[in-house]
Amino acid sequence: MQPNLKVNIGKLELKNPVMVASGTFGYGEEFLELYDISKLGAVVTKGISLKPREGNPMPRMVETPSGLINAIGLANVGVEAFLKEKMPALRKAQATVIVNIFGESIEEYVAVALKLEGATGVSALELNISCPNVSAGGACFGTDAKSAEAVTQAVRRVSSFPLIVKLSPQVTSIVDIAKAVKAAGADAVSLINTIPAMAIDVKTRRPVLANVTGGLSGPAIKPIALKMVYDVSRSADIPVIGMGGIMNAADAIEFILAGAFAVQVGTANFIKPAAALDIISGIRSYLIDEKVDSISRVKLFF
Amino acid sequence: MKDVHATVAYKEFAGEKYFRLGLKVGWDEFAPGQFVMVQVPGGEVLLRRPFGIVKTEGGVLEVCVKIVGKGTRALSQISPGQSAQVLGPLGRGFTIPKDAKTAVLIAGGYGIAPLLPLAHKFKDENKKIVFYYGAKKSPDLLYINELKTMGIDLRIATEDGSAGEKGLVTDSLRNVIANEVKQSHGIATAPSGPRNDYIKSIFACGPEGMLKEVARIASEAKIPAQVSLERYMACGVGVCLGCVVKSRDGSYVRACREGPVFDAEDVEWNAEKT
Repeated sequence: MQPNLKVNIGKLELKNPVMVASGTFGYGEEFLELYDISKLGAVVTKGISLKPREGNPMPRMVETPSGLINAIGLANVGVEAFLKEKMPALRKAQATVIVNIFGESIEEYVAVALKLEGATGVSALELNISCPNVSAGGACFGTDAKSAEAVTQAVRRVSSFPLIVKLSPQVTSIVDIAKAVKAAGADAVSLINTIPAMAIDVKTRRPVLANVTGGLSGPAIKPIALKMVYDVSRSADIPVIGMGGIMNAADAIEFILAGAFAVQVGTANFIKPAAALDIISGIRSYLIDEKVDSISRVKLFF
Repeated sequence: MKDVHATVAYKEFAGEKYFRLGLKVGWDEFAPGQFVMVQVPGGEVLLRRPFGIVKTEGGVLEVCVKIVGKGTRALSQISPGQSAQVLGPLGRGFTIPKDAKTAVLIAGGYGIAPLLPLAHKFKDENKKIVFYYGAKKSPDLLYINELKTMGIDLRIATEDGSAGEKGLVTDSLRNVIANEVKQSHGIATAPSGPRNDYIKSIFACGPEGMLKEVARIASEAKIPAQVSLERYMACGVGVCLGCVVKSRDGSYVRACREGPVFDAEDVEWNAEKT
């Protein structure tokens, strides 16, 4: 029995429910040397802004127990260089591409979305509305429902792509944010983004990161992410893409059982380059072992 | 690059703080200056650790590890027969100039790791080698026996004087370069020492302070220098952007991809490092 791994929301059809998370896969070029990235459900690109960004000074990363704090600072080549220099390789590789975008103002989000409108080889947009790990000019749309709704609405008006909004966990009610972006026209939500965190060096008596704080990812956040996916799936009536510390197929299936129709693999890519591929085949094996013919049938028993 | 489930062929301690690890990866080809990302078995730490490739032979790769924290300490407990995932070879290695007849190498502490295979490569090409090797004290000098039997001009310096000249290895380099520059300008003739056909390029690896000094010496003498930089890394393949180096033109480049070997004059030495 060959189980069916296909999933879809509206126009967005994926060959399997496993994507790679923004910021953990570059623009796909490096991983091309390791495996066929067209096998992934989707590649979510590094977050793209209107103008290129260098990112934060070093140190930008620190390992913590079962986790990693990053303050890269949204370093990216900018939307024009992305289209000219990075998309060709992704198209050639026949990857399913979801472009993650962000801006320092609603106008910037709209401007990036406009530049991407109609781009060949792009299947969807993912809006990053989390607070950036930067000390200055950090406009933050994801911490209240009104701003989240406003930015989603503005992009919805100019973009014909399926629209995924990536939610920050740093909120009182992530369900409220999800409901707000749904009302504004989002086709799906992805959660969770990283959790604000820091580390301090006891010898130097200074924060480890140059940016002082950063975002925590990795196995340590999985239980938190899982609960949020569960809550949003039950209450917000919008398709959910789940992420947060997924290292193996069992982790991915937990998120699917919690209600996610797809998952994103992030930090795991740093530890084992083939992680996402292994997770796809692990899900396939699970379906065969459990005698379930389709991933869409994997639901919580209650 | 390949991600291999490698078995440990051997583990040999060199003092309390250092050990050589032989990993059966099944590949031999690499450029001196390249590195591997090694997963520490046991789950003590999440991320892999980067180590310069010292040598390969018969599909067995050797790295030299200094115990500096949780990851390296956990790795030091590994036994022959156990296995570890090894991703590599990674990064940009040294560029070997065609015309130089003699090579100047300068290492500090465990910076010897990528310079040892470079020295072997120069030997294979019949180039004369002048090797400056410095460390804080004698136990921090590694692969000394191998260096002594290579038939190279080895000049050792330790900060505490426990081996070789007392002082910084960069001081030794500076004095010799100064003499050579004088020679080539016809100002004075040094009584002995390598002829000045060698000063086409300097190759260096060691603590950042040492490399900054090498860059200054090379720049003053107008000699090109290649330096291998060390940075904390998460992915090692160029996607996380956690290992960047500031270049002179203001942009950030990746130590794991555009490096770890850089032209000394391209590095912004006054930027904060990790």
